[in-house]
Amino acid sequence: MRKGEFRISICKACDQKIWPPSENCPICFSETILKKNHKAGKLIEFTRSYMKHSEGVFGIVDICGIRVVGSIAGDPLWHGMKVKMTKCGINTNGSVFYEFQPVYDNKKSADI
Amino acid sequence: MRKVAISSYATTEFLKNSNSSIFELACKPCIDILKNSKLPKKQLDAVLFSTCSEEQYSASILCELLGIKPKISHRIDNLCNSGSNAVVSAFSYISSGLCDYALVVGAEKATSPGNKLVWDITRGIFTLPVYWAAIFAKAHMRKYGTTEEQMGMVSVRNHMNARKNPTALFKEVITLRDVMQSRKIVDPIKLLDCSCSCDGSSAVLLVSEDKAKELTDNPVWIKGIGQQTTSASFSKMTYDLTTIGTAQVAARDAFNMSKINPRKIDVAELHDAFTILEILAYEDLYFVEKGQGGKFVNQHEIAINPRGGILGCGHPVGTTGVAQIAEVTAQLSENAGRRQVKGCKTGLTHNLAAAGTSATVIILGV
Repeated sequence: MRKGEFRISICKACDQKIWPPSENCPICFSETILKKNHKAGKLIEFTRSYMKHSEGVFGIVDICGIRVVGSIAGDPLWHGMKVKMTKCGINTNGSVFYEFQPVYDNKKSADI
Repeated sequence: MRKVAISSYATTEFLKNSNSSIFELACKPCIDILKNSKLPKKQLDAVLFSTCSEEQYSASILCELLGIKPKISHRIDNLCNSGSNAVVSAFSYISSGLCDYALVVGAEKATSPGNKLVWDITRGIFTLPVYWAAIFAKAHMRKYGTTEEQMGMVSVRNHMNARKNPTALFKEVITLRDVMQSRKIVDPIKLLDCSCSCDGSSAVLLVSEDKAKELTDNPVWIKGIGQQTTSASFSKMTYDLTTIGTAQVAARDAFNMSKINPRKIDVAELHDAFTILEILAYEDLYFVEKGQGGKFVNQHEIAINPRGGILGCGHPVGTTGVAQIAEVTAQLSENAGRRQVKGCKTGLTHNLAAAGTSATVIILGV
């Protein structure tokens, strides 16, 4: 994450995707490895924050079964639309961040 | 399994800053109970301390300060539902026969680390509870047409109830207009849709069925318990953002154990840390059909949050669950004074933690 790469834990035995990352799979307890995950997802729900340091639109994004809460930059937005992670990392204060923007194309949003 | 009753309770006044240490806060309701109880202190065989404070070994420190040497003493920390977890633990010790008398105390400072779950990196920079509360609200509004006004009425009513509660943090009446015009925090949540952390403490004394009559003529019995944990991270708590699944499971188990129908609940203390959570609770607890929670706000079948709830009283994290139990006990033993709900026989507490990733429901009766 510090390098801006969205890598998730994948179980070596059962292929389970795990986020937050963990050394052991919560399903079969086998070891996991970190793998780069693709960044396309589906916008599950979104709203607008007026809080200092988090102003703007944010929402829950489902990326192939992994859900995170990140900022969403773009307009218009709608429930269930395709979005793509544009940036992720760790701030100087130690907090993790995820940023997304909409994907406008004619293809249907991916069913998760 | 032995039956377990609550024989006495005490709650301190919740304040923004009490200038008391966590231990001074914790001692107050315990001293109140012990001074007024027929129970000799040396017979107290369990002390459970519900708190998210950083003090190590805090239950034993509390025992030393109170001059108690119980068989069992430890701390319970489960964020916002620490208190109800502590009550369930005490129930378990007594019903299993490990002890006869258990003092459960919750105490918290406004600055408690329990106000935020730092571990959950699935939330990104959106770490505070108000963000997930807003997501729940948006989802419910979109799917069922719940309105900001309906949410606002939860705050209006709970603040009104708090006026009759001398221990509540907030004593002012607010109007729906006040709520709707209060500062926007995270859409649709406004300032008066939110509860406020504070200092506060509360304690309850649990006792086995064969000892209950020695301490009180009006025992209030714990009749049903339900609990469920789904995860710690918000992103995994439920795939339906209009439902707190853990609360549904906990409620089902509590109703089954108590053999009491949801429609028979007379009084309930619900986890209204945000107005939307109370609306979800009506549905998750089977008081009303899914999606109808917004309309249920103005019902009069069940007395909801007579103490003022979390919105009216404030939210000292580890204390809330204990204070809920204390309130329902007061109601069922007809000692609630100006806020007494007439003729109530069955009560319920509903206590969530970390975006509803865990829930505890307790049913009480006389």
